[in-house]
Amino acid sequence: MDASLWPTHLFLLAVPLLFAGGAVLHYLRGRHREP
Amino acid sequence: MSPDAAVAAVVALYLALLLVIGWAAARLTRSPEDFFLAGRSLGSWVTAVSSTASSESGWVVLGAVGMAYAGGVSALWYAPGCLFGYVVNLYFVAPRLRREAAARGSLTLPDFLADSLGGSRTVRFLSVAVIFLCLGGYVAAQLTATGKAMEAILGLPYGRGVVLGGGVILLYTLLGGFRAVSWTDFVQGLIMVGALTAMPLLALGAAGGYGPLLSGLQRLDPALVSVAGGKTGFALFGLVTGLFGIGLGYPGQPHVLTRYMAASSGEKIRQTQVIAMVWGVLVFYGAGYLGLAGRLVRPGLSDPEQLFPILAKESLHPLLAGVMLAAILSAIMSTVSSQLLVAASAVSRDLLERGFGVARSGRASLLAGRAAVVVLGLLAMAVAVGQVRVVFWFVLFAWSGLGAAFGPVLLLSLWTRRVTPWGASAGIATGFLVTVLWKVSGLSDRYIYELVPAFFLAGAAVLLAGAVERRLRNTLPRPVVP
Repeated sequence: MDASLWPTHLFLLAVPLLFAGGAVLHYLRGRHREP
Repeated sequence: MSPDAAVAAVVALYLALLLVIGWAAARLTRSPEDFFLAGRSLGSWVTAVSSTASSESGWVVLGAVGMAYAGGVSALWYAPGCLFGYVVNLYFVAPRLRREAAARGSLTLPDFLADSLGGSRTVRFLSVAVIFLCLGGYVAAQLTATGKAMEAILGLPYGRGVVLGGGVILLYTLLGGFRAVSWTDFVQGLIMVGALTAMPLLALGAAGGYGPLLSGLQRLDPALVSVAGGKTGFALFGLVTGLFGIGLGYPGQPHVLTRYMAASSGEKIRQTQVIAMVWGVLVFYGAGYLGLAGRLVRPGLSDPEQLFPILAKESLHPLLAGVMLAAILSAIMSTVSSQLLVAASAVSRDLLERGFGVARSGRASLLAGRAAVVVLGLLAMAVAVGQVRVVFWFVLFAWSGLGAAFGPVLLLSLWTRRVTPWGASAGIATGFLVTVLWKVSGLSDRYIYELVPAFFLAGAAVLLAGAVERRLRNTLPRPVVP
C-alpha cells in the first residue's frame, strides 16, 4: 500500500475509532458528573 | 412473489408497524407533558437512537453517499464535523438542559429559553417565529422527499406517495405525540444504522477490501484518496470549514434538543452519550465508505445520490432490498415527524398557551396540540403535493438558520450567567438574519458556509447586547423602598 496515504488512513480509520473509542472509554470510566 | 411485490410487502409491513407504535403510544398519552415530552420518561436507547435518527434526514442515506462517490475521501470531512456536533450536544448540552428544563417545567425549547430569562415574551415570540419559518418549509420539503421515495420504491404516483407517507406520519404523531415520534424514530434509527453498516460492508467486499479500495480510487484519480481532495489554500479552507461547519448546527435543532429534555434521568443521558456516538460513527462513516466503494463497484452513475437504492435493488434479495429501501423512508420520516411535532408545539404550547394565555387547562392544551399537528400536517402535505416553490426557499437555510439562531444562545445560557433577555433576542435575530443574508447574497458559494459566520456573530451579539442591558439596568435609578 502507498506509504504516502498515511493521512488518509488516519482520516478514515483513526478518527472514527477515536470518536467511538473515546465515548466508550468515557462511559466506562464514569468520569462524567452532572455539574 | 415478484421482486417489486416483495419490496412493496416489506414497505407495507414497515408502515403498519409505525401505525401500531402510534396506537400503543396513544394509550399512554393523557397530559400535555405526555404529548409534548413523553412525560419525561425516555430511556437511554430511545433517547440516543431517536435523537440521532431525527437529526439525520434523507441527506445521510442519499446526499452524503453521493458526496463521497463524487468527491472521494475529502468529502468525508462532514463525518468528524457532525460527530463534533454530537459531542457538543451530548456532553455539553444534554445533561444540563435535561436537569434545568425539568426543574423549570419547560416542555419546549422556546419554553426553556423564555423561562430561563424570567418569562421573556420577546424571546418566546422570536423563537416561535424562527422555528416556524425554518421547520414549516422543512416539513413540506421532507414530505416531498417522502413522495419521491415512494415513487421510486413502490412506483406510486408522486401525489399518492406524499399522501400515503404523510398520512402515516400524521396519524402516529397525532395519536401518540412525542412518545409515538420517539418510539418510531427509535425503530427507524435501528433500520438506518443496520442498513448503513450492512451495505458499506457488502460494497467494500465487492471492491476487494480496504487496501484495494484505496488503490483502485487512486488509479482513477489521485485526488479521490487525498484528505485535501487536491485543493489548496482558500479552496481547501472553504471545503473543510464548509463540511466541518455542518456540526455547528446541532446545538440549535429543537427537534433534537427536546429528546434530551425528555430523558428520565442524568444516568440515562450518560448512557445516551455512548450509544449515540457509536450510532453516529457507524452511520456517518458507513455512508462515506459506501460512497467510496460505490465509485469502484458501480462506476458512471449520472446521479450518485441514487447509489444506495440502486445497489440495494441490484445486489440483494428483494425482501432484504425492501428493508434497505425502508431505511431511506426511515431517514426521511423520522425527521418529518419530529419536526412536525416541534412546529405544532410552537403554535399550540408556545404561542396559544404560554404566549396568549389560551387553552391553559391540561385537556385544552392536549386538544390544541393535536389540532396543530393536524392543521400543520395537512398544510405541509398540500404544499408538498402542490410543489409550492416559495416554501421550499426556506429549506435552503433551515438547518443553518436554526443552528445559528438557537445554538449560541442555548450554549451560553447553559454555561454562563451572561445571557439576558436583550442578549438572547439579539442572538436569535442575528443568527437567523445573518444566515439568510449570507445565503441569498451568494457568499456561501463564494467563500464559506453561512452557518460558520452566523453562529459566531450570533454568539457575539448575545454577549454584547447582554453587556449593554446589564450596564443600562445598573445605571437606572433604583426604586426607593419605603
